Amino acid sequence: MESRSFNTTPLLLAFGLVAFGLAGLSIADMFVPRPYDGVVPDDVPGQLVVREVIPGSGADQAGIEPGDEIKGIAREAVSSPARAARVLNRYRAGQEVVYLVKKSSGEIIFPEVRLGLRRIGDGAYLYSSTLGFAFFLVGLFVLVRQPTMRVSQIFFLLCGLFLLFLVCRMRPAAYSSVDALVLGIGTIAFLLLPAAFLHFYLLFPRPAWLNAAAESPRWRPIARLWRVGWPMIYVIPPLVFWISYRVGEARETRPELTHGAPAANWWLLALFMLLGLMALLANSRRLNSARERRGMAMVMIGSFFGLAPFVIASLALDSDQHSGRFFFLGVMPLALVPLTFAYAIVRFQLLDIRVILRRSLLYTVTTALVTGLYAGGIATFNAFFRNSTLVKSGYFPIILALAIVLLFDPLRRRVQEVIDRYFFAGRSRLQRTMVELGEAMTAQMDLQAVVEELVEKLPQLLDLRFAALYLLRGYRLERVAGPDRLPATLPVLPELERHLQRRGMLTRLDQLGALPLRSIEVANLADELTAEGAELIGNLTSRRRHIGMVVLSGKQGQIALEREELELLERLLHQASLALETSMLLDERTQKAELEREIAIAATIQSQLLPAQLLFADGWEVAAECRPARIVVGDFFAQLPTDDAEQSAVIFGDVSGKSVAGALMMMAAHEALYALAMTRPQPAELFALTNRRLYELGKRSFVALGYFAASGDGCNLRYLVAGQPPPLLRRREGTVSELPLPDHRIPIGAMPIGSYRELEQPIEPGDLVLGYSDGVIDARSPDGDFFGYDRLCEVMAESPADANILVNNVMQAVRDFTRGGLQYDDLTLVAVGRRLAETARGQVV
Amino acid sequence: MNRVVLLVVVLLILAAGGGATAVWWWLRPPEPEWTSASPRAIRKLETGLADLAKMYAVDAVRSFEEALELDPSFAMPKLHLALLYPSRSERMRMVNALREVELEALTPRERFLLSYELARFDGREGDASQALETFRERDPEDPYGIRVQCRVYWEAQKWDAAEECYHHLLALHPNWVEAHNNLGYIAMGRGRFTEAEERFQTYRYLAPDQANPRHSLAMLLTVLGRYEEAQAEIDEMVTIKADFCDAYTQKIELGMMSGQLELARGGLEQLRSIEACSYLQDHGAMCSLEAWVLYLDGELEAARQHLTGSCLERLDGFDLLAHRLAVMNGDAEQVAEMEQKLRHYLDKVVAAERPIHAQFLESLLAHMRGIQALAAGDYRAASEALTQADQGLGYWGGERANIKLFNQLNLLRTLELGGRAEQAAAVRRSIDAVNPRLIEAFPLPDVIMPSSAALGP
Repeated sequence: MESRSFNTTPLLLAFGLVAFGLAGLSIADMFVPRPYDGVVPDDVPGQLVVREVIPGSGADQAGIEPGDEIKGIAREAVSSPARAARVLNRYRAGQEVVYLVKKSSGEIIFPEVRLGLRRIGDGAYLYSSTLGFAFFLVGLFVLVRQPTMRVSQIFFLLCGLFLLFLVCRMRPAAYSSVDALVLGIGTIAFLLLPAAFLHFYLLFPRPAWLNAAAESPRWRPIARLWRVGWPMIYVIPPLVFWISYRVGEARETRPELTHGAPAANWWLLALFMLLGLMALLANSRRLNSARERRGMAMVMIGSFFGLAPFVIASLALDSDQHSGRFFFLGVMPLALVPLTFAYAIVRFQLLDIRVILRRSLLYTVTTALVTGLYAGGIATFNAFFRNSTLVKSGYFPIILALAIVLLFDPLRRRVQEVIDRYFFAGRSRLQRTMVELGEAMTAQMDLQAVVEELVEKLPQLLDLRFAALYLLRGYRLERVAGPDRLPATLPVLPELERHLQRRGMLTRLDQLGALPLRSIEVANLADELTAEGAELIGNLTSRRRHIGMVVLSGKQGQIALEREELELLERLLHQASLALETSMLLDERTQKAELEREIAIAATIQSQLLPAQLLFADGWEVAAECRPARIVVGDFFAQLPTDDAEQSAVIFGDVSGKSVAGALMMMAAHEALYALAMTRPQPAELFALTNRRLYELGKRSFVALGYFAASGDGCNLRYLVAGQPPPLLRRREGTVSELPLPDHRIPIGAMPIGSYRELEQPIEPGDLVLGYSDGVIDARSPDGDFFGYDRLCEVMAESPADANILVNNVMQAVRDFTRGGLQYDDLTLVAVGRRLAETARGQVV
Repeated sequence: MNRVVLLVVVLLILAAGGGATAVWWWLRPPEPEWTSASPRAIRKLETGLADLAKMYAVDAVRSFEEALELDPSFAMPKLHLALLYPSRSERMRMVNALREVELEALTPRERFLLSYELARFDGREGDASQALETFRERDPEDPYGIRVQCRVYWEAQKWDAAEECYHHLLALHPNWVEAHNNLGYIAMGRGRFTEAEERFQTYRYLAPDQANPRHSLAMLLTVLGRYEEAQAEIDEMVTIKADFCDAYTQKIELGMMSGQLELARGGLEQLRSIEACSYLQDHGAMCSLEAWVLYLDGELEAARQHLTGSCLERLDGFDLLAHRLAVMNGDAEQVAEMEQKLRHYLDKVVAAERPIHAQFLESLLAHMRGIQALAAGDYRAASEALTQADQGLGYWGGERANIKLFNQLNLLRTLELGGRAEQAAAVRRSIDAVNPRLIEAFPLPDVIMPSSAALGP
């Protein structure tokens, strides 16, 4: 393949636009009313020779005949159709003008010709024009479908030249001022036609001969020559044209022109055609795909039987007999060329183009054709038996109608079977396989199996290069299957998701429209995936959740995925989404069950950390209760040794964070406190050490902590508060007040350095001190009201001077207040107080 | 696809720009061809040029004079009047007026025509050629430049070059009738009668209101023996222009060639009665025609008498009929004198490097020798001389074509008298091929036979 420095498709499209415009001009010009004598001029340079005379026209009535030379019109010398047009355009239809005509016998006559209106193209021209536009449309279709393939570009050029030749060159010349332009363009098109023809067949469908030649030492120079010198094939036909004229001048004769070109150019067309067909044969033998070989055979047959009569009729008959009578016979089979191309593309996906025909449309056309055939048959039958008694019989129409009813449907079905077999077999097979794949996936419960079905079988089925699956994991999409060269994760881009939901499940990356302009992330993602060969991206989603995304490459070769394939794929992806969701739900449920079991174990361990019985100082009573909001708990209380070997302390904590994280922090805090307390530090030091330890964990989680211990004389309560609400003191007589607090009471683990200060509060017999976590006052009623500080104080005031009863009353009050509603936070209560009389030393409620 | 849309937009803009330029170019006012402040004077000039193209010299002079009255500074009418006026003094007056013209104010074409013709008036042929060459290089497609070039070839009798030049002129201006006419003459001179007729027919078709193309055609048709068609053309000529002298001269020739001497006499009468044709008397053409009519009518002595004196002088001292009659009369002195004058003229033509004309004159000399040999009964010498004359003669125009045919008739008679029937038959076929009615309609008087070598009874 020759190297290309720039994309020629826009230029070709511009050429197509101009060619189409010229063809349109050529046809439109025929409808402009102009005076016309009925002469069809021949292609003789420098002379106005009559090729044909329209029967009944002014020229015909004046005795002008084919072969005559018109030398003057309306007292002006004319030597070309263009000059004749200029003269005639000064007159109107109906006027009579004097001609100077040299008869083929040599006689000079001066006939008076009555001008009429110019003629419109006849049936032959209508056919030529239709054929030209058919060529053009097939070429345009191929170029649009494969704009970057060199061979499709050359094919478009070839079809454009055919359009110009068939519409402009075949135009019935009638002196129009446009004639010179369009006929000249048509001649130029014909001169370039053989070159484009040969060029196309040398490269079609792939330049296999060129590749083979490049590998062979013997033929390598040919391959090199082609790579450099291919433009020369476009120079040869005009050169031959020029040489023909020069030779003619040297011999003082004008070359005989057949449809605007000398015989040498027609011979060249025949030669190039032969070479082209040989190249086609050579290329087709080197194709690996049987499908492509069949398509090539079809094209070869169409090209041969379409073009050979065209050349023979023009070269052997018209050129030899100096007439254009046989040309139409040559043009007629030319229709085989676009027809076979179109058929080969539809049937065998030549040039990697797949066409999805609409079944309904095809069946409608089939039915219309069959109906037409029947109508024609009946008309023929009627005509044939017109005079027979059979037609006159009253039963004839009934028998005929019955015959139609009986025969119509079987014949239609037969035709449709053929259509199904030739055009829809592959598609039906694909559809069936896709359905089976969808069902297989839906039946799968194993997520990995669904993934494999989707990612491995889909490329095989649709001839894709690869497929990749990304599943939503947290806040990103993780690749669970697909080529390693694709990104391992993709970001979740709401903009892209919304776009995909709007546009459908599957979208081409290059059809994201203006989305990349709005979102740089989408643009980057599209670029990244495109760079790795991806062409399609699809959203996997169900009604309930977003599951993930699928990324697909294009097809092997250059065939693009057709709309119907995309629709099938979308249906399959929808089924895959359901299957994946089911698998994922199952997976998640299993994981959840495992997690719940783990959490239950953790809760058991946690519950075992809480002491079954608390000890405090002599003459003191203690009660504590911890009620978790979830299975695992973030609050705790514990008994610790104090700096006084005779005493025990009670601590209670509230870990920031909930669930498993909170539980782990609680465990860490508990163990740190316990371990550090073993060295019997001062309470403030204990808090400071614990603070440092927990801060070093680096989880940015902290613990609100309270510390109660009795003084050595047993009359005071030593206490520390770090982040916990201020403990409440209930005097024996029922008054409730807050214990004084230090200036700073930062929670443990919140900051690298904590400043904690131990305080003492004299406690009288019968007094109670209640420590509590914020979950108590933050407990909410179903109406959304907080339990609050005041209500807590009220419950304390109304409770008797008994730690256990106080804890129980507060817990009950909270339960009553929340009325069984959702508990948002763990509740922890620790009550200590001096006994009025000797009771048990401590109790956990 | 955006690039495509851009390309299409650019193409559309270019197309619109090109279209606007084309419309402007098409609608722009044409540059004036002739330099004059008076549009009426220009129209008169164009009328004169059209008259000139029709060979209506008198009408053309009138139109040019009117143009000059309308714009006394108009150079082109002066130029044409300087070429057309019959009087030398009037011509020189115009030439002097032309010398006063400011060349800078003229168009390049006018400058060329003026400088070219002035150079020719002054005899500066080299300057004239240089002016022509310069102008042709500057504007090779200008029809007036080509026309002057063609006339140079024509006058120099360079027929090949002239033919090519006129073809070139016609390729650019297919309605230029002078080219058709001259190409017709060239074709006729070379015996390509069909082509000549085609040219003259085209000329007649393009200028149906002109008498000249019909004259060219009538002349050809007369030579070809298509006398009825020639007569019709002559009648048309007279209808178009009653004082068109060539119509009557052609009528006389037709009468002589076809043996209708009454027709010829009638033509002579008409010619004598038209004032505009008096110039024919001055040129001697009239007396020649009158002598031929007398000769063909068998009045040999009257014809001989007619061709003596001032008539012969007007014919530059020699004439084929005068020579023939002198031979028949045995007037060796006059015969020698005429041959001497013809040789002298031939020397001048050879010196002027006009080989084709020289060939024609040599052929006339050969004819004269042949006639003398025939009169002397030396048929072999006569046939050799007449054959030589035939080979050198062509059909250049009616007069020379008639001379060639006349020479062939003499050759035929010589061969018959010499008993060379085979060669005579060949000559007869040759004559019949051109004019199958000539031998029958133009019986050569036997007066040149030895038995009747003397004019007297």
